[in-house]
Amino acid sequence: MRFEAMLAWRYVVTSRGQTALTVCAVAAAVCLIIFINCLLIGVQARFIRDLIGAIAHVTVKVPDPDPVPLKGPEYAVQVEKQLQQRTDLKRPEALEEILSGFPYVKATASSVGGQAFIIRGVRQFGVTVRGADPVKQEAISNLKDDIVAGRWLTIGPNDIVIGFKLAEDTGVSLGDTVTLLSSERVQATFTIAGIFDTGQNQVDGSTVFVTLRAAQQLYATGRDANAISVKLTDPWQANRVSQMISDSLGLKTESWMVEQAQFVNAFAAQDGTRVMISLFSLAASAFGISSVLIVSVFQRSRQIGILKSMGATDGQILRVFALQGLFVSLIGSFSGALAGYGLLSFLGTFKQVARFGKSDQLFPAVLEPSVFVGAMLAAIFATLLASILPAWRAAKTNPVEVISEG
Amino acid sequence: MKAEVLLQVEDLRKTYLIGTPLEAKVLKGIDFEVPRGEFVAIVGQSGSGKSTLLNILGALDQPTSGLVSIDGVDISSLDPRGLALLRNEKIGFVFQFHHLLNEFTCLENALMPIVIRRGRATAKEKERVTALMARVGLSGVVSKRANQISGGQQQRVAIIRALANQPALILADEPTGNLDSVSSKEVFAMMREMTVEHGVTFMMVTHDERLAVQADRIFHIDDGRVRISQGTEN
Repeated sequence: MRFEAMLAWRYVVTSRGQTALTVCAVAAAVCLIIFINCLLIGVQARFIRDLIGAIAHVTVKVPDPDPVPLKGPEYAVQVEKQLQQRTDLKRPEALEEILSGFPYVKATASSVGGQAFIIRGVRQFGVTVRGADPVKQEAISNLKDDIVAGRWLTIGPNDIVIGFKLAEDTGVSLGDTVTLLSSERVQATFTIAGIFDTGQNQVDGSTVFVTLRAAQQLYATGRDANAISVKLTDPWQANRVSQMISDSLGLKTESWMVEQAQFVNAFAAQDGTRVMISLFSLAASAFGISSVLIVSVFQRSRQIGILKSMGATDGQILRVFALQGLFVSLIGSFSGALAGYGLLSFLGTFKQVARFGKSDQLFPAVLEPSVFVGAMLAAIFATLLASILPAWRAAKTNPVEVISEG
Repeated sequence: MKAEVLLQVEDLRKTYLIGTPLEAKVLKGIDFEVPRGEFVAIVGQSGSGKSTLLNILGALDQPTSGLVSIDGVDISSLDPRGLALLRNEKIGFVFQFHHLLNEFTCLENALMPIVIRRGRATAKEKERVTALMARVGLSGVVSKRANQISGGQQQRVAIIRALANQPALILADEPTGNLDSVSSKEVFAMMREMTVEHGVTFMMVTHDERLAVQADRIFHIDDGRVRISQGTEN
C-alpha cells in the first residue's frame, strides 16, 4: 500500500492544475451542501422558534361530551355535536405532575383563558385572556425575551401584560389601569405591568396575560383550569406524545403538528428540497471528478504500462487512482467545510433590525456539526465512487498496447 | 562446461485473430535456449514479430501455444499475480522510449521496481543503485527530475531501473532507437558492461546492424521463424 499511497500523493502534488480543478469541484459541492443545509435548518429553526416557540406543543383538555342522538323510530336521526360546554380540568396541579412523567415532556402549565373586553371609557376592545403562572407559562411561551417594557415573570394578581399594538390601540401605557369584562360577565381592574412585542400582529394586538388566579376569578373556574399546556424537548414528537397522553389518561389532546399541519408540510417540502440540492451537487461534482480522472488515466497510460511491466499488479494500479481520488476528496472536503464555515460566519454578521431595536440575523444559519461531518463524508464517498471507473480503466491497461507508443 | 540455461523457448507460436476467418500468424514455431549471462541481439524487418517475441518472453503477452520457461518456471502456469511477481523479480525492461515518471527524481525512478515490490527501498539498496548510476556517469542527475535530463541520460536511468532488482533477464526493445549515434554507442557499451559485470542475460531488439554484430548471438526473425548466428565483432 505504501507504493500506491506514495505514487497517488505524488500525482496529487505534481499535477497542480488537475488537482486544483478536482479539489475545487469537491470543495464547491461540500461548501454548497453545508451552506444550503445550515441556512435552511436555521430558517426552519427560526420559523419553529417564532411560530411554535410561543405555543404549547401539546394541549391537554377535558374531552368534549359524546353527541346524543334523539331517540325514537318516528324521528329522523341527525347527530350533531353539542354546543361548547364548560369542561374544566379538576385538580390541574396533580395532572401536571402526571404529565411530567411522560417522555419528552419538558414543562407544563395549567391555564385558564377566554374572551374578554378591555373597557376604556366608552370604548371596548375584544381580547383573548391567557391566565397562567408566569414562571410556568414562560417555559411554554417564552414571553420574557419579547417584553419591551415593564415586567412579566413577577406580575401579581392585579397586574396585566399586553401587546404593544393593543397598547397603541387602547392608548394605554405602563402603569395605567384597564378594566376587563370577561365572557362570564365578571369585571376586574388591572394595572399594565408589562408590554410585549412578539412580532405577530394578531398576538400583539389582541392577547393579554394575567396570573392563573386572576383568570380563574375572571372566568369563575374556582381552582380548576381550562387546559394544561405541555412543552416538549423535541417538538417533532408532539403527535406521539399527544396520542400517548390521550390513550393513557382519556383526555382530549391537541398536537401543534395537527393544528399547524400546513407548516409541517412546508417543513417536509423544505427538507426534501435541501436533500435534492445536496444530492445533485454531489452528483455534479462526482461526474466532474470522474471526467478529470479519466483524462488523467489516459494521459498516464504509458506510465501505467511501464509500471505493470515492472511488476505492478492490476490491484496496485487500481489502488493508486482510487487513493488519488481519496486524497483529492479529503483536501476538497476540508477546504469546502472551511469555506462553508467562513461563508456562513460572514453572512451571520449581517443583521436585520426589528421593532424596539431588537435585531436578528439576516441569514439565520445554524452551524450544525452533523451537517459539516455529513457533507464531508458524503463528498468523500461520492469522490471515491467517481474514481472507481477511471481506476478500473487504469488497472485494465494493456502494457503491450501502450508502451510501444512514443 | 555448458552454461546454465536461463531461458527456454519451445515451438512458440502467436497468431492474431484479425477477424473470422482472417488471422495473422506472427510467430510460427520458435525454439531456442539462452544461457545465463549471454547478450543476444534480435533483428528482423518491421512487423517480423521481434517485439511480439520480446513481449511474450517478458510475460506481457500470452503465446497462442508453445513453452516459455524462465529460470525453470513455465510462465503459462502462472496467474496474473504470479506473472507480475515474475516481471518484478526476474525481468527488467528497457524500451525505445524511456517512459520515466516525471513526478519522481532519477534515483526514485531507478528504485521503482523495488518500491513496487516492497513499498520502500532500504539504505543499502539506495546505495547500490546510486553506485550503479555513478558507474554510468549519472552522479550529477541523481536528484534531478526525469524531465530535466538529456535523452541519453534518461535511457541510462531506464537501464539502471531495469537492473535495480538484480533481475536474471533484461529485455530491451530498441533501447537506442530514439538516441543519436553518440548516445547510442554509449548506451550499448553500458549494456554490454552490465552483462559482464552483473551476469545478466540481455535480449535486445534492434534495427542497428552495427550494434547487433557486437552481441554474443544474433536471432534473425524472418517470416515468424528464428535463425541464429554468432556475433562477429564480439
